[in-house]
Amino acid sequence: MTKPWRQSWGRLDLWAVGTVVFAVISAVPVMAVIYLALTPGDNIWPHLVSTVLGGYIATTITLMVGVGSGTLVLGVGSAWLVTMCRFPGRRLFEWGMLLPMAMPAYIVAYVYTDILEFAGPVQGALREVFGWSSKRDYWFPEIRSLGGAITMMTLVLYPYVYLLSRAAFLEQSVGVFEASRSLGRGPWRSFFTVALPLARPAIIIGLYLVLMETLNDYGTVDFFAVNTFSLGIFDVWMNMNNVSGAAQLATVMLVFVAVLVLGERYARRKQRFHNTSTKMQPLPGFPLSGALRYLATAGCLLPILLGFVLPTLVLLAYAHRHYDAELTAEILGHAGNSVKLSVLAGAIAVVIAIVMTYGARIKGGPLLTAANRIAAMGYAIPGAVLAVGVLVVLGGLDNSIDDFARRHFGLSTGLLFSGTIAAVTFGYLVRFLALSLGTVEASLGKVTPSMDGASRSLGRGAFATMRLVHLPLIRASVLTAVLLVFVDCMKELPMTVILRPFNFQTLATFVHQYASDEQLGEAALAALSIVGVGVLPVILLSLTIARSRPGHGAEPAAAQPIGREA
Amino acid sequence: MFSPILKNNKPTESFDMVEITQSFKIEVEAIDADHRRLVEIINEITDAIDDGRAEECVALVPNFVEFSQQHFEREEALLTKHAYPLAEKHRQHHVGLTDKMKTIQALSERAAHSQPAADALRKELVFILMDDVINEDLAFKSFLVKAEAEGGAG
Amino acid sequence: MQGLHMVGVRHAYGRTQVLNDISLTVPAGELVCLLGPSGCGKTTLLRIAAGMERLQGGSVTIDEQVVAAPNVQVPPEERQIGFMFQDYALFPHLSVFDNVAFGLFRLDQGAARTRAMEVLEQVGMTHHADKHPHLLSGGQQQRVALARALAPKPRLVLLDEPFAGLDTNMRARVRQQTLSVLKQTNVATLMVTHDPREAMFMADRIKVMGENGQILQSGRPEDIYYNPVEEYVARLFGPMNMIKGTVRNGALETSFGVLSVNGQDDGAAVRLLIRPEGINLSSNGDQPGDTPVEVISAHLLGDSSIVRIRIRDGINSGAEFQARIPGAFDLMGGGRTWARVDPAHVFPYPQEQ
Repeated sequence: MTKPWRQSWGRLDLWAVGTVVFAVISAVPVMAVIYLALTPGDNIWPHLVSTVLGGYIATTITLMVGVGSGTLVLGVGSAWLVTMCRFPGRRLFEWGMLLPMAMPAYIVAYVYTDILEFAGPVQGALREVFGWSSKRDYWFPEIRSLGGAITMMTLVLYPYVYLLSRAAFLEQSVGVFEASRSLGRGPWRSFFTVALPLARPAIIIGLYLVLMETLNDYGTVDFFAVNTFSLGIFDVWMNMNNVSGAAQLATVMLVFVAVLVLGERYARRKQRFHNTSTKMQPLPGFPLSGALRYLATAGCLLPILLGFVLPTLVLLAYAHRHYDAELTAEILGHAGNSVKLSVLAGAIAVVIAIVMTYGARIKGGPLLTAANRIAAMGYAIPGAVLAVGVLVVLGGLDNSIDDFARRHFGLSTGLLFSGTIAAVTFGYLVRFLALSLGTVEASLGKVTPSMDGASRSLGRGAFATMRLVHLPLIRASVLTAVLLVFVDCMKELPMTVILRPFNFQTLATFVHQYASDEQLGEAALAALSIVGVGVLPVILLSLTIARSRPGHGAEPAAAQPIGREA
Repeated sequence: MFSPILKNNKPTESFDMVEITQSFKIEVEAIDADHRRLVEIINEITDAIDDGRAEECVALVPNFVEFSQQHFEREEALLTKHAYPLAEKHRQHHVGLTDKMKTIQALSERAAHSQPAADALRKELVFILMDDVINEDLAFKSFLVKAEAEGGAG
Repeated sequence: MQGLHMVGVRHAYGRTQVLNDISLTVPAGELVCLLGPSGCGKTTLLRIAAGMERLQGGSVTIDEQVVAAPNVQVPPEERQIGFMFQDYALFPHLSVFDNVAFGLFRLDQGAARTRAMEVLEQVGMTHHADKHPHLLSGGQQQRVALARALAPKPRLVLLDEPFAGLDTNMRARVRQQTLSVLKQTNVATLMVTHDPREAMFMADRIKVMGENGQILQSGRPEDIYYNPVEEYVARLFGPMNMIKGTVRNGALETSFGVLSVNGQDDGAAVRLLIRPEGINLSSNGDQPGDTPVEVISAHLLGDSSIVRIRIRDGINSGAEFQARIPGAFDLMGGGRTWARVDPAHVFPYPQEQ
């Protein structure tokens, strides 16, 4: 009884039609990219292969391997310490470890470049102290490098791994781990032979999210001139002015995505072998002794300091130092644009998500389930690829409408969609629909099917049932869904840069533009605003963690099916 | 106990409990006619109970039992004639109703003195006809309608 | 005819056939109970009647309107039915009153209010009208769910294990109330349950469903209890005593005397099932069929006792049986104990090979 019921397909069904239409629309940009790549007008593929392609692939893979290993060590390590050990500050770290999530990678990149470059305060101080006068006198790591990019992304992306491995460690039966120890294996061997293998599926999902974000990044690699696919697409498109070439690169990038998606599916397939009892028992936790305690504290503190506290303080200081009324007014205008776009996308996304998940709920069947999966795929598509797709699709649409209007009405409609906020919103929707879909779907899944049955048997149709029963019950999740999309849109850079109207700035594009011109001070206030917005979902997650903390009394409210009264 | 339905062809105040509506029709006239006759007998018994003549049940119920028996025989003959594959199973089902026929006879004897027995009799008559007899007959509806049509044409 | 008529309903989940040609008639004012083990598809039948599950074969007619047939599928909201769910499915965000008034949207506000209060009155919940469901006890929630289902005056009421969520004491009271409310309403009711005693209490007619999705027996509670046509049906009511043997002269010789085997052939291997309540105990073996027994243990259940006995003489000497007797069994009574079998509780079935 997973689906409340399936109905006649005979009558025209808006739920089913809507669900399929939204899925098709969200798949169109990617289809367009692949189509364009396979039928290039001006084929530069051989040229790309012989010149830059190898470099893009090598750089992208190196970046992914680096960020992957870095986030694994930081994320799994901190999750293990926080869930299984007792040391000073552990409670604080439970949610504190998430803070760097609020930082877009490009913002930490700007901040650290500012601090660590030759003219920055760190190297300046070193020269002062040791009396060096020029670059040749000493060695200092070059921050604007592949290594730098790996470090920056690791610092802000490890919370994904942390979040998922923490949940996995908590779900593990305490008994399993203690059994291993009672059988004579020490804590370290038990960790590597029991706890880690059990948590592996969850950790892989966290890693998958990290690698998706790594592929998606444009701001950091652009600033550091690290030639990944994202940067390559922009380069071929903007500088070489070749859309087909960009589409071809984008298609190669999609292969990377496909490999990641399949890998994650494979990991999830194994997840059912794993005991996922949602009841959280208080973990005994073993107290760390002596120096080890402070080492653990320092180990957890450092990523938070470097990934969140220090960049925030630097930005605060800059914002204070460079405060300028006129500039602030300008930033406020950009912030208005950001908010308008993000609210628009968040609201539309949640409406679409409700239609699609409710459609799949009341109709069931493989078609609508597939439609929901397809619509959620956008999250895996890097912004640069989507940007190409959206532009190609809307450009084609504009030209067709213009042609049609000229032929039939003798007037030119020009570009209706391209370079408007409609284009940006469309891009946001395709990419972030998965967030609202996932949130709404999870919440709707907790409403028992008998609720639908009760309402329908009392004479209310599908729409009235949604309005009177489901929406009031999932209200909180609807707001969460809007918030999640809103926040990601506020931070989004690559699509916004390409798709925005001429002379239209958002906070993200403004920060990108100023920071690229080495004017971070002027952009600090805008960057802080983005970070401030980014903190919202961290707070939300922290509250969930606090609620689900063992010994907190009630089960997490979200884990209970709605409508099953005791 | 039953929600009454006014039967159109009776201009009286009398209400009937049961009737053979569309979903209960076998669409084979010989059988439907038998079922209608059984409904009439039930309604006579019901009327007797409702009019305070429950003592008449003792005389009326054997009509139901006997006519049922004749109906079963006619039906079994028809099924055998058309070589209905499950004819034997259906015959067994008829045999299985013997105990229920005894039950309604026993209830009819008590109906005059006991309202619960009268109510139970009325209920059981309806269930025997509408559930045990007709619903089981509906199982061969499509087979028999087709067989009769071919028989008529040939 | 007014009421529910389902004919030849079939349903499969994948390759598992859960409903196999189910037909049933529920006249208005009557309560038919579908009795069967968990997972035998009986809830699926209810959901098909309600339109929450798509019909795969057969037909469903409510008050002479075909609501489901191969080319007809009337959605649940247009069937005018009342469905009471096992978990009650009360809307947690609405008050008791708003829950009950939920289906009354076609009435104007005043009429809806009157009707909602009327049904709440019927189930004795008027003074809880403003509360939210989570503040109510299980029994109260059940009554609200019943009131909500009855409020729009449905043509058919469907009850899915309506008392399963209640504790034993509450259950007896609530099912009496539920039955009287349903009888006052004079509506056709189809109920499913796995509890034979509940079915016996509520139903005008019980239909026993087996694990193969077929109806094994239909009849009055008395028929099901005293004339179970299959061993499976006989065993629904709890543990049974069993005597195996071979038929001679149309009967089976036992320590309890010669017991009838209902026309099984001579030489056939049979099993006689004897209900514990069909074994009577006495301290003076003066009745025909009395056989001396040894009492092994006695367990008081409250209104009755289970007494374990061992036969001392005759063909079944040494065999152990369970007797169920009213009240407490006096172990201290001393003297010899005799057991006798009531033929009404003896059911012969052929022994499977």
